[in-house]
Amino acid sequence: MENPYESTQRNILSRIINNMTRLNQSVVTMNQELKIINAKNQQLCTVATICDNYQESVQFNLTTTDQLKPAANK
Amino acid sequence: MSSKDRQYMYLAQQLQTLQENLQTSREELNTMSLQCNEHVVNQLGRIHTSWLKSTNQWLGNELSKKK
Repeated sequence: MENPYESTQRNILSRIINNMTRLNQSVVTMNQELKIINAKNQQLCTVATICDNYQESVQFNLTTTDQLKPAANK
Repeated sequence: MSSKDRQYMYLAQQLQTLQENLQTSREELNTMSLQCNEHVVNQLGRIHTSWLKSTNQWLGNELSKKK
């Protein structure tokens, strides 16, 4: 005798598979976007490193020329 | 092989793909977190805050000199 719930189970399984496929596609899209964002953020990292180096140069020059003043505590 | 078996096999394959995709997402998000914490907050944020504070102090001094 055939399982009376066989058809229902097949339908539910089919829906699960369908949703899983859609989820996979969405995650792939999200990964692509994340990759693009990270590539753009890499440029920001370069700017941050440049600023950091500039800050260190300024600090060094002010220290060697005795022009460095203590920070005000406001 | 019944159609249900085929469905289960396909589902297992999809789940495997999903796991790989989520692993990629995790790596990308880790990279993003590192970039934000190390460079955006610790470098750009700190330096710009110090520049803003020092400029504010300098402008305050200049204005008080004029008065």
